[in-house]
Amino acid sequence: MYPAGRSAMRESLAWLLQPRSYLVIVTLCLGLLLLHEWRLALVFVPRGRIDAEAPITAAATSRIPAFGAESALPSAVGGGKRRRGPASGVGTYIHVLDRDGLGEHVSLPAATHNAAPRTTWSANASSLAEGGALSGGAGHERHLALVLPYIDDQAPRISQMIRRWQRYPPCAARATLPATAYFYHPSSTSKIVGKLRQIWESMPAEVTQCFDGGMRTLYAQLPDRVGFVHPDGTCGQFYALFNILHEQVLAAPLCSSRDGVVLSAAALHACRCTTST
Amino acid sequence: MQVHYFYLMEPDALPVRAGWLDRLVAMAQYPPCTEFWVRDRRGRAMGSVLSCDGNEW
Repeated sequence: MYPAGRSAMRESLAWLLQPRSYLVIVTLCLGLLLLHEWRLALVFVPRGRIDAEAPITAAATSRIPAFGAESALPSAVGGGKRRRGPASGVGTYIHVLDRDGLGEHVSLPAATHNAAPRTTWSANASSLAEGGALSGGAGHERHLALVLPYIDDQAPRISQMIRRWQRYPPCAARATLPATAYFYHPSSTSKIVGKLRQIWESMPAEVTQCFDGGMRTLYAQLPDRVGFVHPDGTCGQFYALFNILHEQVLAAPLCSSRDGVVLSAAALHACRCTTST
Repeated sequence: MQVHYFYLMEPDALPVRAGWLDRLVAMAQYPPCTEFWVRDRRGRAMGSVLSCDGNEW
């Protein structure tokens, strides 16, 4: 080795042996570590998002402006552990639609998903709090959808749940309630629909007669890469449900401006109405 | 068929009393019971103006 090289090595070694050199090295390492973690975070965040361009928006949520691509879907669903299948143990009761209020009184569940942005519907829910829309009393029957989300692998669990209804009947004897049981699948097809129908039909009348709407099936039509991954699938299924049920309301003639109520542009679009404003 | 409310019942949400659908439907029928947008799994209303029967959920 040349003398100049030996000298440089000796100087480097001497620098390394100085106490302040350790400080510099440790700081550099910490900086690299932080940079690495930051880069990881950048990778993980998009993984957790449901892309606004994904088929989910085209299939289910973009048809109604208030639940358009950006507003309907959570912007930061991910970050947690992922596993297949929907979440368990959740029973959420939601006021979905109010025909008198032109079907706009839907709020996003802030506590369920606090990342959900404020939408037209949640904004209109504020007027609900002021007592403007909920005036339904006697003679104005409100229909309840009992939504039973499932995936095909959960057939035994669904069966067990429904059979438990025999032990604890849903309603009093010989009663019929304004309710419908909806079996709700994240995809667009289910292999066990026939089995579910069999289970339902095998139930005693004291159970099935409680539902005046009987049993129906719903499909969230989420793409598999979203629908069968937790929590994205559960979340997407939840949000898609608003539109699915909403469209059932829209199947009935809905758009009539009553009592001088001014319909919002979103409501008009949602109603597919030709009312002029 | 128009739907005013839905109750999301996951497969492992099991009833523990008879008449549970009666109760759910009743909560959707008359004010002030109906004055909520979302209730959590314990029945607590979020954003409600009044509780249904004056009791805490």
